[in-house]
Amino acid sequence: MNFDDTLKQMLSAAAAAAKVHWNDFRSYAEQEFKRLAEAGAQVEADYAADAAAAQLQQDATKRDKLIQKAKLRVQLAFENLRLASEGVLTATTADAKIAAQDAINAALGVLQAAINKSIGIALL
Amino acid sequence: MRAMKFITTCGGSGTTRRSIRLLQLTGVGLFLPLLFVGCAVVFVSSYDQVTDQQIQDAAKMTEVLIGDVVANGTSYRQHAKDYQEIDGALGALEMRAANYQNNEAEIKLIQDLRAAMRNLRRIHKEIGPFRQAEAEGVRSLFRSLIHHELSKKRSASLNKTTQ
Repeated sequence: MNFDDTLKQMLSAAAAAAKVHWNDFRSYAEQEFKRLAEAGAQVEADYAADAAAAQLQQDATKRDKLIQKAKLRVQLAFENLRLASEGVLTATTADAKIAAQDAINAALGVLQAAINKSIGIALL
Repeated sequence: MRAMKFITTCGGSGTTRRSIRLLQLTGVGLFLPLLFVGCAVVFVSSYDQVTDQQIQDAAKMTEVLIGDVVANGTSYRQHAKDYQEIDGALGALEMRAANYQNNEAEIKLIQDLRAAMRNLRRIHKEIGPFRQAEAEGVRSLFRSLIHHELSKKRSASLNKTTQ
């Protein structure tokens, strides 16, 4: 078994396996954060419009109720955007783990083939 | 390997030889068990087609609900049953996901999705029809969950081709 060649093959197999995930991970994270940022800006604009509309209400009780509703709406919407951001983080962290797993397994596959070849039988 | 041969053939202090042999044995000790137990490490649980399909079904139900509320401003009463069905589907998914080892990411995504659905339901029930941007959190969590399943699927097909 040629150690240098096997090592080179192991590294190249690991890099190829990790690259598949990296390309996908990058486009997913970029798009998702862009969408969440746009949604955040829209929620903020909607809240400003709701608050302005509430101020037009002459009846104080009704006005307070409208403001409370607008606050609850924005609070729940932002809570969901926070959960979604955490979701992107969770998914990308898992992506990194899967990429590492596939890279190690690809390298092990090369090593396994090299050992089997050098001893002449499919032992592993 | 070559370096090891060089050092052992050229001599050197007993301590150096001993420590290199120890390192070599440690390396062999770490790699050989991996090779003998099926040649694979598992950091994230394997792909499950049933889970993937159930996520797609729940996403479809949710998209129909969001589409109707955003486009037509339909009331909570008209969709109360849909919310129950979606939560039931996600609950069943969570139970299935909990049976797999190294599946923390999937479980967390499902739990966060259920929490986001409860928030969306609350907006609809207590305030009125939700808006497009307010539903974005739920949709994003579904996309993250689908992305996670696709990564697992890609990994499974990659391991199939390398083995």
